[in-house]
Amino acid sequence: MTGRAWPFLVARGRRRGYSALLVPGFLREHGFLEATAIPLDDAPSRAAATPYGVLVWAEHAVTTAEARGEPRDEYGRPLVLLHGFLCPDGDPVAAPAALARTRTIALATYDRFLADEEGFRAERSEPFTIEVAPVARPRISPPEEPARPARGLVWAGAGAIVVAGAVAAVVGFASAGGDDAPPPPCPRDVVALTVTPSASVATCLRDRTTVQWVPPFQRP
Amino acid sequence: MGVVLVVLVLLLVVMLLVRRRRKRTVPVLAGPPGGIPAFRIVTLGLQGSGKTLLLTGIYRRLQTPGDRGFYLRVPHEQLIELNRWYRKAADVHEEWPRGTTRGELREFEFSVMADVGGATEPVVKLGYLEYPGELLTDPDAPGSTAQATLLQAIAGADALVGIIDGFRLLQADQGDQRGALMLEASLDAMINAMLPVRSPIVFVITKWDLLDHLHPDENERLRIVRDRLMATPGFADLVKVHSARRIVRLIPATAVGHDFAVFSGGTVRKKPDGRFRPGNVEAALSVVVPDILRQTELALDRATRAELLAAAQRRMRMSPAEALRTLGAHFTARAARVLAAALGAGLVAESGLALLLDTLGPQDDPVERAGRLARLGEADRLAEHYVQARRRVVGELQRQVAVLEAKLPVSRLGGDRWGDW
Repeated sequence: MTGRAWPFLVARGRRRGYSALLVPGFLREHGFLEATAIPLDDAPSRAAATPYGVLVWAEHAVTTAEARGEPRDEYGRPLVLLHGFLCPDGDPVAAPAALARTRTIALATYDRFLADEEGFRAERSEPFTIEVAPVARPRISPPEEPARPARGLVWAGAGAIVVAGAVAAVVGFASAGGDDAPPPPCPRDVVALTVTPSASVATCLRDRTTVQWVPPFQRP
Repeated sequence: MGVVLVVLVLLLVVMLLVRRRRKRTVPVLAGPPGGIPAFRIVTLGLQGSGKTLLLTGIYRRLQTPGDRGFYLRVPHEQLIELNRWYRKAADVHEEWPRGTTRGELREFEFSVMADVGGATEPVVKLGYLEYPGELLTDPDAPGSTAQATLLQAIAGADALVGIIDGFRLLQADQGDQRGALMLEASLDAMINAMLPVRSPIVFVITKWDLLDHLHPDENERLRIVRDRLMATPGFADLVKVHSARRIVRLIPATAVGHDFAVFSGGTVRKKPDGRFRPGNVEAALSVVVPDILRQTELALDRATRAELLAAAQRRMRMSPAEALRTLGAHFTARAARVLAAALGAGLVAESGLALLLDTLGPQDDPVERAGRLARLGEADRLAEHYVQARRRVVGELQRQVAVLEAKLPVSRLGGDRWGDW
């Protein structure tokens, strides 16, 4: 499928510092361009996902002919263009060809910039068509709010369950004649008091071993 | 019924025990006792003024211990970047590094590594903000937060380093009006940022090698530049204001050396047979940490100073861990409030105060120290080692500043109060 590629250019002049000189025409805010398009050093090009689409850019060292003179700034540093395009319609398929096109567009803009650095105002680019692969954008839904443990309710619930268990135990004692051994006392390193009335009344950790006490009327 | 009551009582007891257990759980602090003091340094310099090469030079100079007893370490990805800049700058066949873009704004994290009881550990951390200088002078792009980030960093910095571009000084000296105007613009940016702050400041003249022709004697050369700067009304006022509470220094530095670059044909070029020998690049860093401590000292009123001193002396007689507990529980909180009132909120962190205390008090008697170490437990011994390591680092930095002052007395722009500890 075809999509639109909006050229952009971030560069420094002989005197002026880095700024966006060519901006995709549909953008109202372009601060992300300068924040995203950083020098590449050894890589030929790079792509990054932005809120406005896929940003693809390359670096180009300005030559003497392109600069119509010294291709360095007044500090002796090379003049480097960060040019490329913003593609809001999908992943660009033939990025190198598109980058060759944006370099030509960027150099034309840069030529106008060098002619009057102080008076130059960022230009707005027009899109050209490009082959893109549709991007499957996963629907983002807010994560479910984790259940907040209500300490008071937990204690109340645990207490109610234990009391219920205790009552059941009393009933059990009474019905069984009270000749069973009492439940093992939980030591101080109890880490959890969990009760599942259908199976056991009390569980505690004793010497790293889970000890359960089941009332006689529930024993198999 | 009685059994039910017993069960309920048991339940209550279990609940109480669990609660007591929770209360007894004390978090174990990791790392050195008292934490690692961390300071943030922000340079103020326009584009092309040499901030990046100064940063590279500082690291290259201090990446090995040499005879100073400490060295700098950076995270690996930052090391790669610093080394790349260095290679670009030092190779006469390469272009100069291309300059920092707005997207490259970030903080370099220097860990000052020193011997701590036989192991090399970080004892002080220094953050150094790297950013494009145009953020100081040009409007930010719509939707960008880079400028706001920079201004926030300046406001929260523990020390500010004003970068005065030697290239602009050279242009101004040669009668280049634009050069003179750009020099003024850089000084204006410094005045604007530094005048309202109370944190320590230092001025660094970069590209000092471009000014070699001014005078064969370096101190006299510095005097010529100093006189020119002080003739700028705003700059003189800035120095005057800050000199009332601190020592203000002017440090000449060259990130490439005196036989590497030349200004010709309107631009700075590398000499084909140039020798790369940076000079004085680390001085700014050496000034910063002791200055933070000294300015802290100067800003305190006499009573607070006396209290600080007494606390430091008391500290010498107690175990470091105990002293740090005292510091945490009472002293830091109180003194930090005093400091906040005296210096401005956010200027000197608790870590700075802890470091100040480390450097105060009478010097240890080695015999007494050995005896005390023998009595200490392992944790206390470690704390003592950290204290001693920090003292050595600060002492070495102070020594370097003293050497600079001896070599270049003109480097002190103002501020002669030294406190009376």
